[in-house]
Amino acid sequence: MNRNSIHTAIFTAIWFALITFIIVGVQVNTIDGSMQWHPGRAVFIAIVSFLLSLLWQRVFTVQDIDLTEAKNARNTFWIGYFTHGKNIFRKIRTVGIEAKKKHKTVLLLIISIPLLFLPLLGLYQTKVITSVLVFMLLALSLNVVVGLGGMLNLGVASFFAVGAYTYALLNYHYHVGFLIGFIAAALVSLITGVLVALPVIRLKGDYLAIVTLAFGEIVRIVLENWSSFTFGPSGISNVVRPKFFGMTLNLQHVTGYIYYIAFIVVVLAMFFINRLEHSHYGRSWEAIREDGLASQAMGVDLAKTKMLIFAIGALLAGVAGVVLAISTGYINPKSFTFWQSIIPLCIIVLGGMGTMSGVLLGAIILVWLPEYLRVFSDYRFLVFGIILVVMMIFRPDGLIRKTRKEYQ
Amino acid sequence: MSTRLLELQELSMYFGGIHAVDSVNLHIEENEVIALIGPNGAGKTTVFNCTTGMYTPTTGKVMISSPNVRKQEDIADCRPDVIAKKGLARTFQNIRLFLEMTTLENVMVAYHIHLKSTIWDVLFGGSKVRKEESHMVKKAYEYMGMVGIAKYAHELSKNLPYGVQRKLEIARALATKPFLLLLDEPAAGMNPKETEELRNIIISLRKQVSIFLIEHDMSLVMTLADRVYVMDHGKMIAHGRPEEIKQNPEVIRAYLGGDYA
Repeated sequence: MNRNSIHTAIFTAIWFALITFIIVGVQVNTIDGSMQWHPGRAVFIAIVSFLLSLLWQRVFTVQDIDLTEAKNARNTFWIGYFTHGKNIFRKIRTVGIEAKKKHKTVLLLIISIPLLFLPLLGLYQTKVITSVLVFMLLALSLNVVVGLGGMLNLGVASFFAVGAYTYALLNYHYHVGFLIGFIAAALVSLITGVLVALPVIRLKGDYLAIVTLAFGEIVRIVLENWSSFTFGPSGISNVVRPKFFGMTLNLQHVTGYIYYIAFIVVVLAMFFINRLEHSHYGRSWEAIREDGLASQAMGVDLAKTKMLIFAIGALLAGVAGVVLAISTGYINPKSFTFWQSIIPLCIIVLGGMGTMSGVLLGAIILVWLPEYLRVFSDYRFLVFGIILVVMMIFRPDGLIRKTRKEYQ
Repeated sequence: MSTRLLELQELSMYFGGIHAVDSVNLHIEENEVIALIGPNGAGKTTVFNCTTGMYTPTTGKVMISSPNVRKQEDIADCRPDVIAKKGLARTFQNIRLFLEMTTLENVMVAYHIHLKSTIWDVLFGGSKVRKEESHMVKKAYEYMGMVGIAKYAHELSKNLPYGVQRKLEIARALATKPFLLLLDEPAAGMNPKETEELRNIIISLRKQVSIFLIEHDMSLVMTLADRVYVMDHGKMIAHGRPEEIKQNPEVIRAYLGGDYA
């Protein structure tokens, strides 16, 4: 451990404490309008980020190890982590794929550990992050359909609604519990996806966008008008919350519990999408996006593949719907407007089409930040517009550019 | 006796009143290199499109018999992907690569039809998928090696030089392990050096696969082809060995006009 890394760590600690202070250090009591200060939390964050920064530097600054050496001996490599120090990025390149994998794992761990303790920050923060996770799921869905499959889907809100309403209605009419309701909702939205795909796979580009857009509106209008079954615009309240192994939790705990459910669902979704993306399925999806006719000539079954893409997209959106239903406990057709189709699209455009980390970053910027910038909420759409225009000029590929996996 | 890998019987393709292909007969035998030539707009690519399922011919039959099966079947109504699985692979006149994917991935996509792992294997499985994948990568390198583009494996195919893109099209078609390879103007836009390389590639390929070639470069056609078919205005006007075709008055008329015949 040298002086430089301690300097960096201190700097990081102060920086993190400062920028997170408005979020965790100040609590506004909306009832009596008073403010509560929590300087202790800032100190806590400073200490944690100091330690994380040290760990980070340890992990990433390993002296240039010979490529073959690193590949041959994993052991040497792990020791290398703790005995060397210097240039991060050059090292990542030289040590190659093995190292990249390990770095990614460590990086993910560093990011996810604080997320595990998030409910300690209170009800409001937990709810906000849960809604961010819901939009992450929607964006992951679109990431598959638009980013990988290249089919512009403007009706993701419809599958979102199908998932949420299936869960809520099954529960209301048939008293189905959480787990079965969850699975049923996922299945129903998957089937809806396949049914929508049947006519849609024949269409391309703009026409496909229009049909999906129309489907989104149809679902919403049906929900609004089928009063006897869906309770129309008044929606469904008191959607059943999941029980914790048979125990009914209080509001505080159930919010945390739902957050964990959402967190796990997102992680699982990312895991499986990642697997698919780097398998022959994912490559066929991208081939279809690049050139449908050529991929068909190479033996890709267009109809079947597009159907699968749509089904997976619908499944993810449906699951997002269930998470929304349990986290808010109340749904109505207004939760599934065109806007709910557009935000996830903005997320992937901003983050970078077809990239997983882009989805996460985009969701944080477009869903999480606005929660804390409520002061500017009147200008939200203006800011969105400006962001997107600027993006299109300077980074048309999105914030995170897609790097291709190098198969060895 | 050698089998007829492909046999077009009275194949016709009409677009409204236009007879793009009119009662064409053609056959390809095992280990042959066949060239299809003709002036622009003669209907050569339409023949390809009918053969590989891009178009469904108006009338006529497209009979294939793979060397393994040795039984003729009509594929006129099949989809392109079904035909690819049956063992016919093609390249495109206007290069159609998967531009945002690497060279290696382009070839891998074509190899997918030989993979066995299902979606459950991919989602939950481990070694089986990994083994299959690494085997595929190895094969893909082989196919890239055959046309000499292995060093571009990790380049995005949109960034490749033109000649390499053309070769990649061939490598990608080869990765489907076809018994008949259909090349649509592989030398178009290539400089003499690249054309020469292409000639060597085709010569080395013909040991393993029969080739059906559309080409305008006559030196290439005359040196490579065992037999040559000539089309004009949708009709087959001549067919024979290259040296016969050179002398054929019909062919000269089609290319140069009536006065030269």
